[in-house]
Amino acid sequence: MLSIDNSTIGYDVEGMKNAIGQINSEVIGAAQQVLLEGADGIERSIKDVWVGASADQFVKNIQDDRRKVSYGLDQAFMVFKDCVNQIIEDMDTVDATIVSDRSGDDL
Amino acid sequence: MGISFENYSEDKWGVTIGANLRGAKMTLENLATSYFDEFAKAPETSFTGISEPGVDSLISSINTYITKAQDTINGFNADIILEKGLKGPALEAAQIFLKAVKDIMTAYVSVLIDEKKELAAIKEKYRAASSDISGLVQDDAKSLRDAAKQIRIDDNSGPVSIDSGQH
Repeated sequence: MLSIDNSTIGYDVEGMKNAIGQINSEVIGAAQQVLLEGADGIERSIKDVWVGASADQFVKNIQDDRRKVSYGLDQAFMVFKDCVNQIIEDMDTVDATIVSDRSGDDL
Repeated sequence: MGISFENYSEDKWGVTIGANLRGAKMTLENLATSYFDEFAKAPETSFTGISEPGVDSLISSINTYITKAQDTINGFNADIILEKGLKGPALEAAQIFLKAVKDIMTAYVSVLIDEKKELAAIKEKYRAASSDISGLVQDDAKSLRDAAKQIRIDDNSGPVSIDSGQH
């Protein structure tokens, strides 16, 4: 495989895809794990000390909030992923047009 | 000849019904004095539907998760993006994305803080509601006592009049 050491201009499609995957795991995954631990932990704590319809509603609100925030994180990641894919597409377009085909040109 | 009540004279009916009324009266009075009076004292205890000491531990628990969320936000620094080797517009997009994630998580921390405040307020709401209910129960207990007294008055009014058919 061709390798260009110390390249400073250009793009590495596989590298970017790997980076997106790692960011998804290390950022979105970590954040959603914190959300899940928090909501479930609070729910357990509530059930230990509070009984009734209000307690049920409070737990529901907490889980709803958690889902909304989790959804927001997923949306943010999707926008980021689309953005990077668009960058790859744009770079492909640029790369394909930097040098034009002169085969049909007269010398 | 009218209908015969040989085995159920006026006195027997009166005694039977009177005894039943006295029994009902005693039951109601017992309820009024024992159950309702005790129930009316409920606000004096620590239990109001939510354990008050438990609320404090619950708030402490939420504080733990607030700290965890804040630590996670602080962990989302520039290095987490830079070490992935992104450059140029991809790096810029990643930095904007990371900022968005931190903003979303900061909003989540605000939600947790609001929930913590709501819990503290809920404890007070239970206290207020319990006090209101206590007043209603005391009113009910008074009505029940009055009803019990009324039964006793009726009971003393004499045996129930029944045509024995011996006229």
